[in-house]
Order: sequence, then structure tokens, then C-alpha cells
Amino acid sequence: MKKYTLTNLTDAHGWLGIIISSLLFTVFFTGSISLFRDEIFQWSVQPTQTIEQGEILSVSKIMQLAIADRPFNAKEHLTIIPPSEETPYYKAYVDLIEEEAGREYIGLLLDPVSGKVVGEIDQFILAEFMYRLHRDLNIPYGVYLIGFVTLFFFFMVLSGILMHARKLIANFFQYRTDPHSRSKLLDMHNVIGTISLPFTLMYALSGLIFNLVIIYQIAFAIILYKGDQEALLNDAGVHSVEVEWQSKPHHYQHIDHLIEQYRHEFGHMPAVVRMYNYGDKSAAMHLIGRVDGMFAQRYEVALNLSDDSIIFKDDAKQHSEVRHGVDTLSELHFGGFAGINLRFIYFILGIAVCALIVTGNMLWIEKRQKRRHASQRSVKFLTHTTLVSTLGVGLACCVAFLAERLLPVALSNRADFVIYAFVSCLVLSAIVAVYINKQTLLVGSFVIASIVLILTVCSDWLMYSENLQLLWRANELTVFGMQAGLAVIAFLFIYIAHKLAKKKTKLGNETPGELVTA
Amino acid sequence: MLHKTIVAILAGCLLSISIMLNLNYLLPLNIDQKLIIGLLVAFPMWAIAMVMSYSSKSAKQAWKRCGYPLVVSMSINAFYFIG
Repeated sequence: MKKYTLTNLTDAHGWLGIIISSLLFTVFFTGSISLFRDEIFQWSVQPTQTIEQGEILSVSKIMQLAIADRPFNAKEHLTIIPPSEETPYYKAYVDLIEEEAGREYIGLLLDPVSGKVVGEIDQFILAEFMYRLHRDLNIPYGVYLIGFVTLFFFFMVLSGILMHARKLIANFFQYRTDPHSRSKLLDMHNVIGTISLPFTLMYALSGLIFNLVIIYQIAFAIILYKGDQEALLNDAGVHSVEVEWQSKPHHYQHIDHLIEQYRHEFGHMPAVVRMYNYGDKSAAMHLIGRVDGMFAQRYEVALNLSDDSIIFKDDAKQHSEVRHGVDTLSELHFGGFAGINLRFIYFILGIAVCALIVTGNMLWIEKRQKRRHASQRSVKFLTHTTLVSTLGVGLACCVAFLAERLLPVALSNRADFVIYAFVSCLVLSAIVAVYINKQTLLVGSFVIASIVLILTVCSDWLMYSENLQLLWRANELTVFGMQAGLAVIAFLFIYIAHKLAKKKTKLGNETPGELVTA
Repeated sequence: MLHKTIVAILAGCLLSISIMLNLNYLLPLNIDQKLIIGLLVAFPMWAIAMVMSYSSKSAKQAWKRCGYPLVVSMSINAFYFIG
């Protein structure tokens, strides 16, 4: 490789890295948390509401309970998500008549035994909020923004390989402990980058396909399909159910029988049951679930309830490879194919990539500092941005957990307050970072984060101790697993703060280099 | 850097779409298989085009590096599209 090629690549790697680092860190950090989305949701809900013990109600009964006394728009959809290992409640999404209800739909959580409405799904926003931050930063068109960030991340991975190629094997385990911090940081950056390479490549590719597939979809629809988007979606295995409303009220009795039939055929209860024209003679049912014993193979069946005729059916024998491929990537992306142990490995790798981003920024800042003509203002600005986008985001996430626990369940617009807590904390840390010594900020952030997490766990017990005892007796351990996880992270933060405080005493006057050393 | 970024994004996108279309014309497979293979190849092609662009000395060289394969690939596109 020519020398200028390597120099140009190194320059681009550094510059683009520093530009996308804040967003990329947020994506990886919240993505790592989102690996436990179901567990976080359970932790949010379960202590506030105990589940009654007994026989689980049928899907058809839940459908009736979900639409009872609500301006249900039967011409639209009624979607039921049956309880599973991940979520012990029935979830129901009821499309409403907008003029009467003032909104398009309502998401309900229902007790699987009594059928009582536990609350609205959107009330317990934390898990979904973390996931949305990961997917689209919770902003309009965020999907495309994150898509392009992922594209640059893909470039960073490839350029990183080329830059490090000659030493990839020889220096694989190299971690120099000499006092020159740059060697340490560089080794850390290279070792994490090399170890996490298959993981980062998979994340970059799958993330791009999830977020930017629209580009190729448009190109294909225009050029290959002459504008016929329907035909393209059909080839890609995306089907839609079209049934004509007949205005003939009818109550079908065999919904549960059909669900049971397909559960038996594919070995798994459908994860989603969606009704079209529910309550009308023209009603259709759409089932989506996993095929037992297959990696990332889903089944999808849509049928007319009037004569049980099949509208479309996708399964292991008959499916679109596009759908299967995207499902496989999705399974790899979310680590959902090998239980909680794999998700722990994914979590560690995700956090390692966060460390990769931070060390990358530190290397760039240090390099820039040493340049005689480099603007010190830009160095200061980047140090500040790095601190806020890493420590600030981490601390804001901890505060969001505390808010989710402390805010009363009955509070209207509860979800908004959780989001306000996150944003306020982020803004506050950005302001505080301007005035406080960077070392103090580092130590202080870890200490505050650990206090917030410990407070969260304590609040669980102070507010909902009775329900927690009931959960323990019912052997429902997810909430306790979450509490243990939060406590471990809190103690880890205390340990890091202690180590940093020790270093702080060794350091003299503050320079941006302190950040690098720390 | 800005000019190289424009080349990287624009030429990379066009090149990947063009190669994806060619794969679709050339591979003797079912349409759904061609679509997923195209999708899996397209994004790495885009990223490789970005590497080619950013490793160039200048935006002009970046255009040349990405432009030649783009012209070849688009010619094949045109051949199949018209034919």
C-alpha cells in the first residue's frame, strides 16, 4: 500500500471518527442496554402490578376485553401479543375511531389470568425509549441519520483493518504498559477493534440494511419494477392483507381453535395475532410466530375466518429469501438465538465498542494537542463533546431508570417525564462540564451514576416491597435479575471512580492530557 | 475532506446500486435470492467505494477511482436495460 494512501485513510479515519463518535457512542451504549429490552420492560411493570396465578385466558377472550367500552375502529386492526417467557402480560394494540378517541390507537397491558387492564404500554416507556435512541435517536428521520452514521462506521471498520492489516496478527495481543499513554491507548484501541471485528462488521451491515434499505428499494422499484412497488414487496416476502368490509356483524367462535392448530403445526405459539375487520363477516386473521427448531425462521399465515381459506402462508418450505435473510440478520443483530448468556456477551462487546470510540477520540485529541498549529479551542471543544456524549449519555440513562421507578404509574403523560428526565440530565451535564475540572467531572459522574442506580434499586424495595415478595414466591425472577444487574453496575462505577480519584491525586494541574491519561 | 465525502457518498451509492442491478441481471437464481444477495453485496460495495475515495490524494483522483468502475458497471446496466 502506498504511503499517501495510508496517510489519507488514517486522516479520514480520525476525522470521521471524531465527527460521528457522539452519535455512534449513543447508538452502541443504548443498543447494549436494549439487548435487555424485555427484562427492562418487565422490571418497569411487574413491581407495580402483580400477576394473578391461574389459567391463562384465551386470545379471543382478550380480544373482547381489549375492545370493551372503547371506540374500536373495526375496519382497522386489533393486534394481540400473547404472553411469553419475555413478557408475562397480554399486549393489545386497539385501533380507535380517531374522531371519538382523539388518537389513532391504544396499547394495553392485560393480566393474562384476570384480563384486567394493568395499564397502557406507553406508560412504561423506558425500554422502548432506550431502543428508540438506539434505532433513530427518538427524532424524526433519525433512522436515516443513524443509517448514515452506520455507513461511516462501516468505512471506519474497513479503514481500521487496512491501517492495522500488517500488524493484525503480530500485534494481536500487544498491550504496552510503558508510561507513554499514547501506546496504551493505541494498543487498547487496536486490541478492542481486532477482537470485536466480526461483531462490528455484523452490526454495521445489519444496521445498514435495517436503516438504509429504502435507497435500494426505491432504485429497484423504479428501474427493475417500473414503479410497481407492490410487486417488489411481494418478491421480498412482504405481504399485506386486503379484506373488504361487508357491514355484516359476525362473531367467529373458532379463533382459538385456529391459533391452537398453527401452534401445533409450527411448535410455537404465534408471537403476534392481528385481526382485520374484527366483528365483521369479512374478518381475517394474521398470525406471525417462530418455527420450532429453525434458526430465524418465522411463519406467517393469513386466513379468511369465513371459510378458513388461506390468503398467504410463509413457512420453512415456502418463503421469500429476502424475508428469511433479514430475519437472520435481525436474529444476529439482537442476539436472540441463544438465550441470555449470548446477550451478556453481546452486551460486553457493545460496551467494548463504546470503549473503542472513547479511546479513538482520546487518541485524536492527544494527537491534535501535540500539533503546534492546531487550535486549542477545537481541542477543548472536542474534549467537552467527548465527555458529554459519553459520561452525559451514561448518566442520563441512569437517571431515566430512576425516573421510571419513581414516577407514579397513574401520572398522566408519565412517559414524557421519563424522556424529560433523560434530556434534562444530558443538558445539565453539558453545562456543568463547561465549568468543572475534567478530572472532577469524570470521578463525579461515576459516583453520581452509581448513587442513582443504588437509589433505583432501593426505591424498588421501598415502593413495592409487597409485590416484590409476591413475585419472589411466584418464582418470577426477572425483576430481581435486573436489580442485581443495576447493583453490579453501580459497584463497578464506584470502583472506577475510586481508581480515577487515586489517579487524580497523582496528576498536577489540569490539561486535556489528563483526560487521556485517566 | 468535504469533496471526498461527496464522492464517497454519491459515487458509492450509485456504484452499489449499479452493481446490485447487474447482479440481478446476471445471477441465474430466483428473484428473492438475487434481491437478498444484492442487498448483502451493495452496502459493502458502498463502503469499499468510500475507502477508495478517502484514500485518494484529491477529490479528482477519488472521482477517477470510483468513476471508472461506475462507468463500466452502468454500461452493463444500460446494455441489459435497453436489450
